[in-house]
Amino acid sequence: MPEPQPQPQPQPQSPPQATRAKPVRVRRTVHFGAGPEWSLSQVGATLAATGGVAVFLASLFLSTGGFDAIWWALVLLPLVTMTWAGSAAPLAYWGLLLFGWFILTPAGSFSWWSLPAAAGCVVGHAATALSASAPPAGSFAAPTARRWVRHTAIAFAAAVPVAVLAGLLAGRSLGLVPAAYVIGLGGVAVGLWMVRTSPPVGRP
Amino acid sequence: MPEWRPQRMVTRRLGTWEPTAAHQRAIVLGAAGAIVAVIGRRADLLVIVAPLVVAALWGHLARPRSEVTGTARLGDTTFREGSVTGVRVTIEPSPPEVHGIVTLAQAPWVERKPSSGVVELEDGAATLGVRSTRWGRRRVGTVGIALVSTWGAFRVGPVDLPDLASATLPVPAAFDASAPTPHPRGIVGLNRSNRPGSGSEFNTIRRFHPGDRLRRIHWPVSMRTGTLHVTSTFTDEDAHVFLLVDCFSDLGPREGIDGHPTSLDVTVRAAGAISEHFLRSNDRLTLRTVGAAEVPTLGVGSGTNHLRRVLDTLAAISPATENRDTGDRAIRGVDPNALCLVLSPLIDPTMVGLAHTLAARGMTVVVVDTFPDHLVTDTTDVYQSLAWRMRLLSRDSEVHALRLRGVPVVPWRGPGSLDQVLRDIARRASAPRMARR
Repeated sequence: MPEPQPQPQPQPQSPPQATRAKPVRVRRTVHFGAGPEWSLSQVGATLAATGGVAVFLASLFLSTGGFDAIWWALVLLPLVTMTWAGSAAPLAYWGLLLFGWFILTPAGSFSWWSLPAAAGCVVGHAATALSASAPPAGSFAAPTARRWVRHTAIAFAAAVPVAVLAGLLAGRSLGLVPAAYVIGLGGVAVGLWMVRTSPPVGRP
Repeated sequence: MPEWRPQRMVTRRLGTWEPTAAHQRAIVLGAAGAIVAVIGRRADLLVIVAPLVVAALWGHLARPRSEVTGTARLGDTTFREGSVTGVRVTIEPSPPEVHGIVTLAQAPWVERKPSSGVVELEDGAATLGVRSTRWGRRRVGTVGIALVSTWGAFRVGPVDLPDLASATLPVPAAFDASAPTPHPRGIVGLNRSNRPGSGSEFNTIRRFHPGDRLRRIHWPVSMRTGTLHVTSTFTDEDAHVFLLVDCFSDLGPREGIDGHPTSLDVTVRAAGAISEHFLRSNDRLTLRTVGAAEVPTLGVGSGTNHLRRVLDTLAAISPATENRDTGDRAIRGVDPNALCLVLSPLIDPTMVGLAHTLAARGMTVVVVDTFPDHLVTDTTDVYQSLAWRMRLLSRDSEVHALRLRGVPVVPWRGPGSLDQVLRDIARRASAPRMARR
């Protein structure tokens, strides 16, 4: 039988010094009915995703001058699908939202409301990704939250030059439409080539 | 069954990094949105998906390339009921800007701190608190590790590490006895014997003999009589205590250290307390169990190390795992001069029979009744109360039979439980007795 060694008792070498106690961080959790335990961090991430959808829909509303009220029901989708943040559900409803932008705005038009819509889109994407990175009861430390906010802001900054360029070129016929097609599609192809999985992920 | 041994540290490779749903979402929405924007001449749609394209590229370019190894280390593999230790989880190497989550699965009789069992890795390390609420050998929940890279684009895990194992020693109940242990025979104990020799108990003052220690010289008497006199003492001796623990039944709801004890909780904690008392008095002690399988056999021993062995053996008890045990092996080869303490709730008739057998051999036997009173105080269930009443009537007759044979049965009350009965035994031992010739 293994015999544990007795633990030496620490002897005080000097008079006790006044030390600053580390504040105890209380992690609060909530229950929704009989469901699992949710941390306030996770609830906050879900609310941020909901806010992103709300900003996107508000931008779309202002850009198009109004749409059917049923579209506002999409605001609730992140709340309903908070359990499936790591699944394809967010892809489906964000695809639906982008499709709504496509069909509700006229071709060849440009609206500066696309900038807040881009902010809502990237915030919704980041909040959902952060929520999927931890179990429902998991919390996020302040440095983690700050890092995600910083990354989201930097990614959003990429939308500004695109918007400025689109604003400058809106309504002008530069005769470069075929070239733009080639450049755009080539960029998409390069992007897809870069993010390809190498080697491809094998199916289980 | 493989031999049990505590598992202090476990390590496992976490596997390869794989793209997440978030990364695939950014790629699909970014690429499809850009294509649709170009083809459909929606410049504002291109603006909207531009951050997603950046997120997809950023997440891909910043993905970790190295394989990560996770390690979990238990602060202590042996600790007492109610005490807290830590599980330290580290990853090596620790990629920059990686968000890591450590989970500790729920395990019986283990409280996690935080209660959700989920903590975040900070600089590649995290610590969870673990509190064991009941004695025994058990696994300390499964540790799982999951890591996600920048933008949640790539993920490794959650991967479960091999289980950590620990032993929780019973917290001995408070116990003290001022009465001497009967039949001291050894040479290192604290019990007074009837033989003169080196010790602390005063015997008499006698003439100096060659070999006597000079510090024993009694100078006032020597000066008065003109010849050297010394103080003589009774020798101190150690006794042999034999503990027989009933593992046949574990009555009552198992609520751990914070709730009401079961009958086996009381038995084990009482055995620990009695062992601690006698071993600190330098007495020799033997522990045997009846009704439990896979309990290692413990020999005679004394001292602090033997106390640790006794508590380890008590922690290895699994109740009612050997119902066919007759106890014959447990009482084989017992020192005839040993003080036999039978700890039992006296529910299983085997233990009553063993107490009769030991008493029939002429040994000094004391039965310590460890039946918890709170089991029969609940009067809400009429049928259960009636069942207990019938069972206790039967039990009373068995206790009465033991007393008729001269075996004292004392309820376990903590400190002083055995004082009166040990004094009675000492008095009985010094009294004249009738012998069969």
